[in-house]
Amino acid sequence: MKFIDYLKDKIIEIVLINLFVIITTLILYSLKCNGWIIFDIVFLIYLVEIINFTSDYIKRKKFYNNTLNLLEDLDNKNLIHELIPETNFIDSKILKEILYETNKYKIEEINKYKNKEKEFKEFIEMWVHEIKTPLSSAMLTTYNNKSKLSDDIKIELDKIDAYVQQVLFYARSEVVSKDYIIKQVSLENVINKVILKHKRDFLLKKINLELKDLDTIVNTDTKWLEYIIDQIITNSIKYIDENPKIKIYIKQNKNDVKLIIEDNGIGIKSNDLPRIFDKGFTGSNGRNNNTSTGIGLYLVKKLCNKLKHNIEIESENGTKAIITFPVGSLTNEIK
Amino acid sequence: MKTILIVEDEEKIREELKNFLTNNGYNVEIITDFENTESEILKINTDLILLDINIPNKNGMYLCKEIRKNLKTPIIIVTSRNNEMDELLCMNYGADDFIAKPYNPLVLLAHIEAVLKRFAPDLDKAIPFKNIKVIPAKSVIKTETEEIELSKNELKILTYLLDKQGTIVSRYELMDYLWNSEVFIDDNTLTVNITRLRKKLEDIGLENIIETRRGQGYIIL
Repeated sequence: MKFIDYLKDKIIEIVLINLFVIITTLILYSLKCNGWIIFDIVFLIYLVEIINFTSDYIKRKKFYNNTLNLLEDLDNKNLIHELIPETNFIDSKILKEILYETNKYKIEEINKYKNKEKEFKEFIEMWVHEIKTPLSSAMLTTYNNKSKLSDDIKIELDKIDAYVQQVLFYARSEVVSKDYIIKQVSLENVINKVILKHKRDFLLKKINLELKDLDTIVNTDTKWLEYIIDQIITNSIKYIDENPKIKIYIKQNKNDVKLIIEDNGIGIKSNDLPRIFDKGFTGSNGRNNNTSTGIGLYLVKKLCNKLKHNIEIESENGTKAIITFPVGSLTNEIK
Repeated sequence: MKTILIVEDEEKIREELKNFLTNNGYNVEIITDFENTESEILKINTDLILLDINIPNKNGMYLCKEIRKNLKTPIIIVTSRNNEMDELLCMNYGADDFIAKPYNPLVLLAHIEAVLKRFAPDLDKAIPFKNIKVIPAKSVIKTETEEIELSKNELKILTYLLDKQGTIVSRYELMDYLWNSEVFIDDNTLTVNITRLRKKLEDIGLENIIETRRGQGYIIL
């Protein structure tokens, strides 16, 4: 707030005062008053007005500057009306009132959508939960009636299961609420579980698997991490090349633990690389393999962000996924 | 033979699960009345309870807690809600293991075996063969005069082949079995392990015990 702007704002008052002074002078002059007395009166009027404008300007400038500074520092800008400094001039009170009312309205609107979103998520969770019963039942049936046919069905059932799982995690990742528990988890257990799930592919496609020093504890949510690693391994298996090999190992640093999943598959083209985490992006590999939805890695990135894990994917003679678990910060958060 | 009680309200799953477990050498009990689930469960004498958490008229976790008050029988909870919170709660309510639907039935089997083993470890169980005994709990082969240590893989291979004594076990089947017990070996490693195992058996005078059937697999006669 500049003084000149302030004066422009007060232009009518200034004009009126000048008019008043001119009229007063003319009246006093016509009453044949002493020139000095007229000068004194005019001087006094101006003095009072200058003091009045200046003090008003300072008060307002202080108020608005304070408010703007507060706004800047505030993470949740919605709270500004709670923090506006107390003053005795009417504008500030009105401003406070306006902000309060508009914020209230906005928050109510937001809550309405939050609730809708929550309901939707709950519906999806329920649905996923329901569909798993017939899925389990079908899976058991295939195991109890072994044949070429049931083997084929088994493979399709596994695919259905993967898609159902994807819906669930998509719903979970989109919702603001926090439905994961970060605790100490053995990386080895999580990885073993995921690998076991892909046993069939590993054995049939004769993929060489190298696991090294995985006996490490990290802070994460088991179910989410399982999903993340599962996506990466699914991709590695999907895009294998000759003499397939997948190597999983750990790099322990002072401040973090890096989990590295490396394969010697067809890799990702360098111009696709920056966009692999984008929603719906399938890249040239995906387009050649029409089962790609472009959701898998998008979810991986999103879940990683929520868990505060970092994920990078590099590609050079195969693909290398690196998940970083910070050691210090999260432990403190838990404590 | 161990008895497993299936508490599952979905009839189709119950029947399939019953078949599956019966085929795999368990004695299976079921309950069909879910009005008084708890007392029904307590009536049956069983080695393990497979409890679906979503049974009618009752909160499964609460039920688990109630059973635990009266029985020490191991409980494996089966659920289709796959989140960390549920798993944690189940464990807090006294369940011994937790498996999410839809499960790979072989994995379920592995969980059941593991829990049963934890509860009643067969420390003295020995598999007799010719003039030796294989003792899984100690991972050794015992002859009349000496004890020979086996590595984890060797033990698994030997016990599996002995279990299927007289039938050919394909390399794929053997690897599948090993993978199910979280030994992720590849083709070459399997060959190496078999060679080592044969060498150890030879050392105690048992030559050509594990025969190779070209293109089919291995067999112990």
